Amino acid sequence: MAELRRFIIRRLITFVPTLIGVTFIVYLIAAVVPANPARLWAGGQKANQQVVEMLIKEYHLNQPFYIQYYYFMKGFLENTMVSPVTGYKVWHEIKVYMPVTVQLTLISFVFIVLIGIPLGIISALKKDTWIDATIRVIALLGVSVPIFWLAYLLIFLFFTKLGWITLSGTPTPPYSITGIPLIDSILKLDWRTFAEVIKRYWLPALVLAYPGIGVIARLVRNTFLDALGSDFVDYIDARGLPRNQMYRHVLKNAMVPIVTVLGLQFGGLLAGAPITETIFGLPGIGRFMLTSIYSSDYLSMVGGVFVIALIYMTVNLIVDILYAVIDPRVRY
Amino acid sequence: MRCKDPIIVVKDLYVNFYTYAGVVKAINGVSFEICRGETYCLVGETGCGKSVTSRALTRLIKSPGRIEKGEIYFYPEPGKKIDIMKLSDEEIRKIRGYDIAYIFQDPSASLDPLYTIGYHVAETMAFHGVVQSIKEGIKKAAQVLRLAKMPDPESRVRAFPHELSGGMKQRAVIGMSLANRPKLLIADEPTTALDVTIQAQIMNFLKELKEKENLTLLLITHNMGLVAEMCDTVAVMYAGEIVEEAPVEELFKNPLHPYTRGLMRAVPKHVGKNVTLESIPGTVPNLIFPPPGCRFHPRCPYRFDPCDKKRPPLIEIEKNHKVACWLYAKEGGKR
Amino acid sequence: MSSSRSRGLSAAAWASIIIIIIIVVGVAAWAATRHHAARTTTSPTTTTSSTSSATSTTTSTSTSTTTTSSTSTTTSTTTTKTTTTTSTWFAHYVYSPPLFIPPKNGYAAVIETSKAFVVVGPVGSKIPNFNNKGKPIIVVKFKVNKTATKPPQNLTAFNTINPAFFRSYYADALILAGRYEVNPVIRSQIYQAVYALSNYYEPLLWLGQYIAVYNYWSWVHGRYYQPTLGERFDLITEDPNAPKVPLGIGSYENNATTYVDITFGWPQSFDPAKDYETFGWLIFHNIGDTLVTYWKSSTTKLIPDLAVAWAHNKNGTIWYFVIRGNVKAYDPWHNKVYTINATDVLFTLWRIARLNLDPSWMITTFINVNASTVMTESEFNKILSTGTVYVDYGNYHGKVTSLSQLLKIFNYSGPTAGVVELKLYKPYGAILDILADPFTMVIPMKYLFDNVPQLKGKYAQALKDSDYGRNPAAWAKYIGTGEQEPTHQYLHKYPIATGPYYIKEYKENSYIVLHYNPYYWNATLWQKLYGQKAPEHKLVIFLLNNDPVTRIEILKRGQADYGAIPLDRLKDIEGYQYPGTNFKIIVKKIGLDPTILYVVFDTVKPPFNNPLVREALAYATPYKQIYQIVYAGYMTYLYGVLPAGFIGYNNQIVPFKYTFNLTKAMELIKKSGIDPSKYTIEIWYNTGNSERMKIATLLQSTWKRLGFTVTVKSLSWPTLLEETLKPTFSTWIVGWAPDYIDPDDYAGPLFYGGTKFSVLQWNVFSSISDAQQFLSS
Repeated sequence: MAELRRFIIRRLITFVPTLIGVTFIVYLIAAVVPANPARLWAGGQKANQQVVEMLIKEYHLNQPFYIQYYYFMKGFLENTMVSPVTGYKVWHEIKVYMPVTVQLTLISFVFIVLIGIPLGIISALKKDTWIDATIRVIALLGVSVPIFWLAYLLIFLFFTKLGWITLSGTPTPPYSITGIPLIDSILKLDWRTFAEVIKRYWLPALVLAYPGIGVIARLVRNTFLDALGSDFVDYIDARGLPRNQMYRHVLKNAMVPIVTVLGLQFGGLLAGAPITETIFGLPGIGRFMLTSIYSSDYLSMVGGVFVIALIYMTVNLIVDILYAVIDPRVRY
Repeated sequence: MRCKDPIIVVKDLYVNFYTYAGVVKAINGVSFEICRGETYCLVGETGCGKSVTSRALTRLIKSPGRIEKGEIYFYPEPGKKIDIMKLSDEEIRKIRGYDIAYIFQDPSASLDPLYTIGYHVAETMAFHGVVQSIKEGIKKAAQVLRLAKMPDPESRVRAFPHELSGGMKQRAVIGMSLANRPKLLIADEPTTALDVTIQAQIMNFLKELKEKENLTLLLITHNMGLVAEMCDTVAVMYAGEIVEEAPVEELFKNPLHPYTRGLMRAVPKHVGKNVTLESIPGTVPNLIFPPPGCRFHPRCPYRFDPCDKKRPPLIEIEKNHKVACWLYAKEGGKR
Repeated sequence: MSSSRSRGLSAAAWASIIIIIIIVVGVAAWAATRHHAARTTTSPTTTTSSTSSATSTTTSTSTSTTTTSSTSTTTSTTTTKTTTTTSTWFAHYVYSPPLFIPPKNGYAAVIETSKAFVVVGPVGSKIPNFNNKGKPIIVVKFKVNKTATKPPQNLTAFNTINPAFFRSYYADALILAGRYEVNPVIRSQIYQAVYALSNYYEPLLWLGQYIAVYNYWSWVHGRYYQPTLGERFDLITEDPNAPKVPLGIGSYENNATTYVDITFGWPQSFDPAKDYETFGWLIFHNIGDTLVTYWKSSTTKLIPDLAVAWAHNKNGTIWYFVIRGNVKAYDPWHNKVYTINATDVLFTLWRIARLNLDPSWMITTFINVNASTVMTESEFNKILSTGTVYVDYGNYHGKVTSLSQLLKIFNYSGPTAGVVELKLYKPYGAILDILADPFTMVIPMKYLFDNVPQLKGKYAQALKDSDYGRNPAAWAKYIGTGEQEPTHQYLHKYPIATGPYYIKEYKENSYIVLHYNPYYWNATLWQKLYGQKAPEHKLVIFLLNNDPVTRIEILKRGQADYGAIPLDRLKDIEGYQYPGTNFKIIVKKIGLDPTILYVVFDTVKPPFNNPLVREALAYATPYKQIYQIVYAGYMTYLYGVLPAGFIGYNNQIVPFKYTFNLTKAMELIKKSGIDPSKYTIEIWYNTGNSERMKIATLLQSTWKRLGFTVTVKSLSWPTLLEETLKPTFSTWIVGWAPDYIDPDDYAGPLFYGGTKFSVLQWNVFSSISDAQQFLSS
């Protein structure tokens, strides 16, 4: 396990250059490629020259981009950087929007795991029957149906017709431990708030998860069948072990590629969130990044990229650690 | 009945494989007995049906294969007769790994790379009730491995398959298969994948078991040298049929069936220059459309009129020496 | 492969076929209800305008003010105005047709307006012969300061020159005269002339003016349209039977006493000193008070708000505002109440200038905040007694010599809380309109000093340093500039209210809840309107959602009373009935929105430097098609730089009423003498704005029939702004929304050509001979 610890530390160290690289590239594209945004920040056509000049000075816009980048990172990490478009400190906004996206992503992820994996296993066990065929078609739909189309359809059903969901606000209890109501309400056993959170997030999470469910179901089906055809399965039968024990072996073997893809899926959830968040009125990081792009608020956008990159790298690290836990052949 | 105290009796076993290409008549009416305490060997070329036959004993045949018909009886104790074909899935499961255990050719293919050796041993014991839980099983695993002559068994218990060499893995598999003290051990080419020195160790170990524990062993091999060392009774299979069965010395001294003779001649006896290895001309027949009559007749140098018309029955020519060949059937003899 | 494969194949095939059919049906249904993206930031959501007639001027006065002139002929622009005589102004006049003599070398231009004739020309020019039919003649004479006037390409679009880089000395003279004229009647005539010239020259192709359209449930009563302020929610009511619909936010529900708006975006800032957009201003109009304001939909008559009375010195460079007493500011974050006085008012305006954020130019361009001051009522009374202060309010135009007289004119008898004196750099007729803008809402100084960490405990000292507001420059020690300034950061999060509502809670980009303000100084208004101490709408909630389809669903569900719906979806929701009731969604055109749309020509470059070419292109523009296709019919013709509802708008005097007429366009091209095949016109618009993209495409299809090569290109908004700062483009499509309700807010940025004058004087005459005499001297 000492090797694992070393591995984790080595990986954590790589976070720093990765974060710098990612934010630098995004900053380059966002800040350098288009025109000087100061005029836009100052009010567009109505921008007053004085205000424009003040903004240029405050945000170092007339200096080379690497200097700009330096000031940006400094201000961002010291939490002094104020977005000229929203007027809030970038970290403040991230802090406000992060819990929404985290909750959405977590619940989506749970859907993917709880629906996708069983569907895949059933599909594998009932191979070539109509059940298998239906599940495979559903999975295909999952990756081909555009998210917004599905969202509108379900909103029409669950909101307009049935009124089961709401499209405004985000449930927030008066207390705060982690800042994420979903987790806080569990910690405090506040089931009422928990129910409210689920009620608000379940449909957007399901919509967001749908393509992922399709991918995971197909993947689980394939890896499960693959593992089912492994050599050692034969010997398990020869040893007279019961079916469930055989499935246990098979599932664990199938898990390795599944864990990888689940990790990638998580990143995909983060990326797919903007549209879902916008349609369902959830003020999350995804939606925030979208509006920052529209308003040329690249400071907020790069801040968002930083956080998302951090989350993504952490998830990948967890995936790699799980790898090592599941498969002893993996060495670092 | 050859055996006074048989442990396995097989009568007229037929096994087919239903493939896209057609129906493979893999086992074509095989009958034999294994006596308790003996080492019974099935020999033949690759694809002759030895493995399928051994798997059929516990109905370990998977789709697209199917046991078409036949009778298989298992006598866990003298006098107690179990009809294998009539057992439920759950009942046959209990027999596998407990009364009848297997060892296969490639130990890597037998072990799950994600679980430790100890876990493998433990689960084999736990699910047959030999121990109460896997945890307990792991505690006992070192003992089991020691019995299988595994060096440093305590650390091996915690090891994963990829951390062991081939020989160790096979010892682990042997340990697993013996942990529940089976009545019959079926070893399908157990040392083919290992080097000669390890092979010798393992075979000696099995011999020990046979002598000390009175273990009944069904050994499948194509290595005639091993046959000479290990076996009591040998059955030669060709193209899904038993063509000859005899006690081991009798078989070597007096091989009757043309195929057996060919096999004997194919084994190099001397090491020297200018020794040509003899081979049997022709190839193994297509079992979807097997040759009519005797399945060996296309390659048989002694073939004559009845050989392609009717299948020769397996009849006892001399004491416990059976052969299925028209050369001998005419001469009478008991079945 | 198993033997059951054949069975599985057909099962999969069946399942696929059925599901594909479902998809195709679903896509077809979806295509039938396609949506467009909502309008972008540069155009407002759904706002309406009042139905003010084209030529609404204030009152027909019998006497005009007489102010002494101050002539100075320096190199900077000077504006001088002398009115010696007054004559009766005729209320109505029939045009038959209106006279329009365009500028010509050596001659003055003559433009007939509703109540006068405007003559504008360089000193020494000749007035062409005309009959003034007894109407007064306003003469504007000018002399261009050639050294101080920079060439157009050296100026900055919107800032120091119009975006077309077009220059006409005549028009510029009129624009500046209008800017500095204080008499509202004279101003209105001057701006009418400006309007006519903007049509004659067509430096920008005036595409159209938005029609404001409201959509709301029929249980809502009393909505009205005010272009810059928005509605006061306490003046709107609902049918008591309006359905109760829970919102899913806490325990809030939409009912008869809760007014809910479903819209998109988020206010730029809760600090009025930073906010420069309509959403924020709508909120400030409801939570704050400004010195003056407009009542309901009026865009012309200013009424007292924080200021109970106001007056100015003779030439309009000093303005005095008597501040209302007993105005309370409510801090909901600490449940504290502050009392407003004149120092707070000056502090508010001073702070806007000091922070130098987006809307600050409206203060800093015109008001010298550091030279402004506050004074007590008795100090003010002393100034009044010197007879140098004048009032223009209601029917009264003249001197005022005592505070009691002043208050009597304004019909106010309640308590007061000091007087604010604002010093202007130059007289500016629109200064009151600016002070009606919601971003000037008052912030109590003590609120900031009590709560902003860097200022805690320094309130008394700050007051002393500034001598209680008499010397505002001293506050610079406490208040900084820019985005990171602490009071800005604080107010950005914790707004305070003096108005009918306060912000009770909000969640960024999710919702805002306003609650009626129990400390509102004008609670008697509610008593009068509703017979109770609170308005009908006790709560006002903004729901935010950036997706137009979702907004429509929320509105239909009854969770909102009204909402921001894209123009092309309005017909889909009109008449939608709330299940189980008789209430329906009403879609109503509610007036003309002063937001305008136009195409900018680069008039420095050929072919656009040729006015006939511009005219031709204006005739080659498919206006009706654009209004129908792009704006679902919610746009109307615009003939000049001023929109309907603004002083100066007069469609009866414009020389060219452009409509789509290709034949005429081709004639004009021929007349212009250019060969269109030699020119490529490139039409730019900002990426993502689908409306402008459609307009560009439509223009391309018609303009190219004149023989030009026309291409369309989209640029990102910041790039577009950057590339059009100088005359290095061809044409581009853009709009303009009002900052305050005054024609200078349009004529200045969109028509002024950057001319500096060494002489600029104007006066009113009754005979042409007098006029000529003035012009020749």
